[in-house]
Amino acid sequence: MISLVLVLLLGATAPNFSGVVLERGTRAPLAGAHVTVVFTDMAYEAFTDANGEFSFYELPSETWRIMVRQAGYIPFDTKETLTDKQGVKVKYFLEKRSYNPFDVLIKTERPRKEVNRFTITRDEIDKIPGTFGDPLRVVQNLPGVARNDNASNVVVRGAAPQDTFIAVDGINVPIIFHFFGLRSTLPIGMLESIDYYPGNYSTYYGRALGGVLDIKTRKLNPEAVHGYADISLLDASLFLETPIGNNFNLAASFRRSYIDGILKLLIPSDSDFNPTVAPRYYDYQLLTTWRPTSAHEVRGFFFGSDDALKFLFQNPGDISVNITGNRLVSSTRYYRALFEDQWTPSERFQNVAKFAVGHDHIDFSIGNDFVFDLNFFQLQARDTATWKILDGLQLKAGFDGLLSISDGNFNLPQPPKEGDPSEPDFTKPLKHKISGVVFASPALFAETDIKPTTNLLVSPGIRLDYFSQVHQVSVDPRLSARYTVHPQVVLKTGVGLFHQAPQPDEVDTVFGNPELGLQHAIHYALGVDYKPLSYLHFDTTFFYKDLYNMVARTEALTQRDGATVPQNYNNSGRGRVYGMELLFRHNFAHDLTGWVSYTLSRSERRDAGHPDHRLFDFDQTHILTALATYRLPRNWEIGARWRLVSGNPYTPITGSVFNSNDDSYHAIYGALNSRRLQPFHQLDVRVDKRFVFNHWMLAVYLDVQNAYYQKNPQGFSYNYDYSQKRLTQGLPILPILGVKGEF
Amino acid sequence: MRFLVFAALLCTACSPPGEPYNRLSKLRVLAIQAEPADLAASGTTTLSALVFTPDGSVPTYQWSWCPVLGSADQGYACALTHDELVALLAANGFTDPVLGYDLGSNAQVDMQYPVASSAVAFICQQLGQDCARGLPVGIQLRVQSGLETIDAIKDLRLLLEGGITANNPTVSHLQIAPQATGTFIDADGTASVALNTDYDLHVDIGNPDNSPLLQLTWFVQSGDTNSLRTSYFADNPNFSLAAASSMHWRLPSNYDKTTLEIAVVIRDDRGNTHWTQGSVRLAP
Repeated sequence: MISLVLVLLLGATAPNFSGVVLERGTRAPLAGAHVTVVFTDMAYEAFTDANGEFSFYELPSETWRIMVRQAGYIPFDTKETLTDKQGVKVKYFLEKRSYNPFDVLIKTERPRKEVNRFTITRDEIDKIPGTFGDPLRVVQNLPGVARNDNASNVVVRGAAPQDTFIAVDGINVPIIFHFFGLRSTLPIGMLESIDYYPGNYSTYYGRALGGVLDIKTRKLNPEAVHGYADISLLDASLFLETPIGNNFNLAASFRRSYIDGILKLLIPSDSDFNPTVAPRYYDYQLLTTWRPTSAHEVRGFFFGSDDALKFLFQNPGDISVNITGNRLVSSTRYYRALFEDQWTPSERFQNVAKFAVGHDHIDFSIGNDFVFDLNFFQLQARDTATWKILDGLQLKAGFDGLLSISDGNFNLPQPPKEGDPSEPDFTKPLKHKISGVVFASPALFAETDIKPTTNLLVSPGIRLDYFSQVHQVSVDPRLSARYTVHPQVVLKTGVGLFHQAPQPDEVDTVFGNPELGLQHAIHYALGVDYKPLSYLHFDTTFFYKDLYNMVARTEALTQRDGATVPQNYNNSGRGRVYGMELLFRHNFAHDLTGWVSYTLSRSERRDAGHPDHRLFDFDQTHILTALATYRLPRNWEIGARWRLVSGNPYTPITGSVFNSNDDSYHAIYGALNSRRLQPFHQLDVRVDKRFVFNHWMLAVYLDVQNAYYQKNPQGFSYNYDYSQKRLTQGLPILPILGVKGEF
Repeated sequence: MRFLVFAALLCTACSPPGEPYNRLSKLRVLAIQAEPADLAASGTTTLSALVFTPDGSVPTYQWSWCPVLGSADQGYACALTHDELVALLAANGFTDPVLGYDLGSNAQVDMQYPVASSAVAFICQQLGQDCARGLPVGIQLRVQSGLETIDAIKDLRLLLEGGITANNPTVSHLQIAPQATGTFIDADGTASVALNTDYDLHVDIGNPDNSPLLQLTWFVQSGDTNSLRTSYFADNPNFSLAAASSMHWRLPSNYDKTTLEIAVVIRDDRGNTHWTQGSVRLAP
């Protein structure tokens, strides 16, 4: 009665038929959907509002035919019976014609100023065959990246794996893969994209001679609680994201492998090795974003991983007479806490401050003697200010400070290095304990983007680094330029100086040479971008890299602290890398997405005391990758990747010597990397099917590696005295089934 | 998934081509021994090698020593010529005669302390090495039989004045018994064995210096042992001396000779070594 009075007083009428239209599977409200109600010759219509809601007033009490229409969605028809007694409230779910994320992916491409930058988004990563949806494994498909079975060794433009800088939001993260390169430690749900720079990158990045992989964390913007659970043969993961209030978003994720469980089923109980802690890994992430004011965005990202493996050997002597126990332990843990404040007071100015703290612990031992136990604390602070002074002039400058403190206990032979054909000599382990070893590397950088004309962009920059481990300052001038000769054609070029410190073991007083200096590289690049259509992109780049002052192994002796000691390393190494990269990219259009990348290159090194260059360990003359994903009706997708890559170089074995100390034969090697394995080629295919329910979706995928079972050579296996050998082959046909539920 | 690949590769590595390491089927150098194990100042040691030839022929030997062996991947070639060594020592005031590198071509040779012990002390000081257990130098051996040649090396420690030589571990009294019967008899050539049958092998182990680690390698001319080696770890009861002294051996179903050679080599954590040999005959 009271409500009736209120209605009469206000002159308003309550709707007798109302409801909400949601997207099936995601439950996202659909704004602008067209709702029509029809009874005999009467028809009324309404459009849903921003919340997906609609209302009809004073509809006669009849059975109405309801039609809901929205572009891109399957038409929805039903009937509703209205009565005089009370209004009817409904909830309708509309199924999208396709849940392919590319359909709705609207990308505003960042302005390009580097010679080469390839950005792969989360949605692209998830569907690339042969990668199991792993973010960093996808990088191997890009131009300039060598094929490598161990995905953790990213070899870019003929540079050693440790020469490529891998970062999360610009912060140094040394351990980004679980063991054996099985998986990267960041799940796809936490990523927005990956930026890949094969060379000639801006002064924002430093301390590396090779490429840069910068993993961008997710820009959270959930309108409700969303998440997914992903189950594959390797591991299972859970991801959740939610808004909290109007300005705060939170996402959390956890993943654990169950290789340990599988192995326990596969390994017979009487096997020679008994996994007491079978290989297992887990990783965890917590991401928050907070917008206290319209000018500030504060982000927090805490992430880490933990890998462990313990084996007991039944007959350790079968492996080596030098092993003094029957236990193998491997444990790797790390965490990083990253805080970021992005302040944008005006359209012309932005300041991004970042601070990260983290800890890495690597513990590896065989038996009782061979030990690698490293604790590594890292602090990093970055501040980058970007000032758009004029329309054609922008200045970017900042600070990038890195501090690490290491404690460790080592009893190991010299670690193997690029260009070492032989295995580590376990008969001659070196002992060293370190405590509180501090490496500090503060840097300042600045760069400007100058557009003297509408067609030309010139970006000069400079970076100053100090490296405490070698007590040296480096000054890196860099320059890149892009000239638009036609709306569809851009010429681009770059040249720059890059420095990198030796690896920590290389400047160690026992394992290395504390008198080493910085390594240098000059990058040159020249290329063309051609965009004939909005979704087609051709990119060709010719490059040359001059490497000098490179750390190289030496047998020489030197005087240190009054004693004659092995010098181990010096800076007499040189190298050169040159070649061409080609990318033909088809962004999503006409149900198709994919790319073809081809790299023609040669990477050579000249070792200490050698007059001639030799091939780099990972030199691959031809690297061709073609991949595509095609959308089919009814939420089916099919994808394929085919790779053709030159075989890796290898060093022939010309004989052997029996060493009575360790009861084994040691190989005598011929000319370093003077032979090459047969080419590698492989087809991977992937099929995705998405089932859409009202409140959630189920995605099922089958990823088949090496679909036509090519027996690709990986290397050689030798008998005990190296007089016989046979090829070792890569993986056979490997089907992986995965299930992912999203809501 | 890469782990499975890794495991597959490991598996491949576990079963390399050809015969297992402990199968004696061609010319082999199985161990080199110095007795005494270290070379005391002004002293002498006897070098010998355990060599297997498939036809029982006598191989030729060529022994030499070298102050600094090169890297393994270059075949442990000597890094200094004798003239360079003499000149180097003379430059530092050591003019005593230096033993020539060539040690002879007998099956076993004696080696005298090669340089003045004061020169060894000087080198230790220069290298910043703790030479309490001696300065290692290289022993090189080339064995030839017919068209086959094997190069082998061993470290020998030159003790400083007053240094005490280590003792080699010992292995002896090789016996054989049908599996799990415990009825051992000496493998002295008189014991007879049947094909396609399981046997236990046993040796006596001596550990005069109480070395915390002993490794025994079991070589057989045919058949399969259940591992290449047995181990003794002082701190691990699962790897006791008793466990290290026994090995399981299964003879093949076919073998075309009438006798089978067996050799067991023992090594300690310093590379000191000793061996024992035996043989059995096939039951008719």
